[in-house]
Amino acid sequence: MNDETLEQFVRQFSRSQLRILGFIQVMVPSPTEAEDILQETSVVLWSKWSQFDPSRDFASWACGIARYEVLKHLKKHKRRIYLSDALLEQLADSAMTEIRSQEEDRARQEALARCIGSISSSDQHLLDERYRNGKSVEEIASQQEKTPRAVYKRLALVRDLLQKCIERRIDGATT
Amino acid sequence: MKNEMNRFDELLEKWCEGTLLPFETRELDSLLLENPELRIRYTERMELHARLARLLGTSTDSPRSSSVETKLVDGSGHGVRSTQKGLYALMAAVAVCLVGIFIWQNRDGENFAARIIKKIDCEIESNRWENEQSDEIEAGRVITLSRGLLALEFACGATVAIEGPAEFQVVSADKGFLYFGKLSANTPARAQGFTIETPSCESVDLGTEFGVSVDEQGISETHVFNGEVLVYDRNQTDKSIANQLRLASNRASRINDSLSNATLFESRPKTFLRMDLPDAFIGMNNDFQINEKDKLVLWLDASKRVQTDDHLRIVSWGDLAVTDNRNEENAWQVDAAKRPYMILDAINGHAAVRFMGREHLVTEPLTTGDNFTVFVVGTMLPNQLRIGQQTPLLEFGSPRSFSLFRNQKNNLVSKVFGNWRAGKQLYSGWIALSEDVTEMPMVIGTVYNHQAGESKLIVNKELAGTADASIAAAIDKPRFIGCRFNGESGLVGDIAEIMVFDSALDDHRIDSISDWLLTKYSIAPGGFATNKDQNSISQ
Repeated sequence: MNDETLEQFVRQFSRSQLRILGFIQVMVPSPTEAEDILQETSVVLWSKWSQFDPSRDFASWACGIARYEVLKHLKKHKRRIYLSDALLEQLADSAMTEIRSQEEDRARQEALARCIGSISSSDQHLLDERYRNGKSVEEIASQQEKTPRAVYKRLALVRDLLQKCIERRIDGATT
Repeated sequence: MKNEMNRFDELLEKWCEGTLLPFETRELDSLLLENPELRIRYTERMELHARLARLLGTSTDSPRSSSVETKLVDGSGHGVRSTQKGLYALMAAVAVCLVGIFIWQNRDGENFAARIIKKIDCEIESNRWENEQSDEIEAGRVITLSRGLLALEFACGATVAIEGPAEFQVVSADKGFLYFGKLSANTPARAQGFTIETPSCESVDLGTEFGVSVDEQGISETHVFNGEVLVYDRNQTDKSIANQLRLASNRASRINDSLSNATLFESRPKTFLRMDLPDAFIGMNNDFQINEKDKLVLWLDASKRVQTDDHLRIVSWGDLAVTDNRNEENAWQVDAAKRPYMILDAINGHAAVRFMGREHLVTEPLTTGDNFTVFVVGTMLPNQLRIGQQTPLLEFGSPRSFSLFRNQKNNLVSKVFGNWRAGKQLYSGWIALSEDVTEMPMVIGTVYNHQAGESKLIVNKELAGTADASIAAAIDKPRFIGCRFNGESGLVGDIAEIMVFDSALDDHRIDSISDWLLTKYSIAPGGFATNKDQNSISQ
């Protein structure tokens, strides 16, 4: 394979890697584990690149391969805690049908960024603590002198708010 | 339905956080299998979780660009000159953009290549002369470890456990140099290529777990526990197949001066200390439920998570992670001569840790409040050394401490020691049995309730005595098992199980835990008389 082939692959992969990662995280939420699986997937994708039909959507093709890599990973790490095989199959099936286009993915990511700006500063702080500072719910609860359950509830509520806000923005943009 | 949704959301948050327990995973699993609406909510939530991690997180953030990838993508064409070189560049791009930058930065923007993640009873030479400012280690730093176990995590993701005495250099974010001593390395897939150099060879990991040792003559051994390792002759610049050894799982090599004289043999994993104990969740009991409100903080069971050396002596005893007990405060003995023994059929066919008077274990630092409950299952054996001294089954903290010990008459005693005043050490919660309990398997429960001012000793489900609890006994120190806090007065006896709760459990919980342990170890319930005249002497 020549340089051009390689360049085409890297272009496609770099455009789609976050969508592939999102697909993997439906089954394996840990970012570190998901990244490990994505790395394995990238190697398999490159080895099968000559079989890729350019008329197909790259992300869908890649997610099909990622799905097998996830199952391989789960078999290898049997001792860790995962959902059952039957459920994972169902989740993978539905996630496969909902792979977003690159444009849609970008639009949703931008909408999320704007929606975060619209929630209260205390909720923004909660997300910051959880994602940017990597604190556990227990740590946050102890800092804020709340029960972990109250923090779980608040996080779920914030996610609800964000989900609705994203849908509103996407619907608004398309109508 | 609202309750179900609330519960589902809580489980989902825990799932994203990675703190879901096995029974909760089963609960989430069945909720999702039964309810298609929840499956839709799950998919939406997981997408949002991934997006939030991308936007705000440090781990799953936006694609990290490497210089190689930038060259490829911007079409400048200067980055790739041949297909083969291009493949390497691609792999580098993929690896770098996924794994992250191979050198971490601290808050001051300085680069560091590795960081200390655990110190087990260890002594680092440099600490004698300089204050350790942080756990971050810059490339090039040499560590001289006179004793103990030091665990480092390299920026590439590999972890190494160095066993003192040893001299080790952090060469770069993916390479270390072992001048002398022993280490075990664990490398996830993303850290493939992690290398340990020694004076005579280089061991390049291919995604595995392995050990390396260098003796006083500079002879290097590489032992592969899992996966594969490539061993090169360090003195050869030619790294072709002719100058390499490929070691598979369970294989080892010994190299003196050159690879051509290498000896191959079966690897001996048990001669290396390893940080990664078997999974905490494996083989958990489903017949007994620990409540969250019990606040379990330590649970050691001799039939689970025990790492032994090649003489069946115990190197580490792993804390079982259930309910809120998510921090592992494992018990260790890094000194081979002081390791207790693993006895597989000690108490009615159950495994126990055997102490013969000169052995002990120390847990990693553990915190409790002033109210706590401790359960111990064990047997005091004959031929106690140093008769006339108190020999603890366990002792927590110093100078204030809780101790469960064997006195000179072979009675069992529980007691909290306080501060010294006018040449005397204050104490409370002193309860002693009045009979010799040698060779009697016991389920011992101690409840120290400082808030209520009362402590209790329960043996084989029967209340053996009560006393005051006037001393605040909150503890945040390592806990000693089988000896006093100074490592002396070693026990002769077996300990099969230890449970520590950061709360004073009520009588109902005490009864149910006692029942469960008595059944588990086939011990008959039954009380022992207390030594009334020793009862309850306080400050």
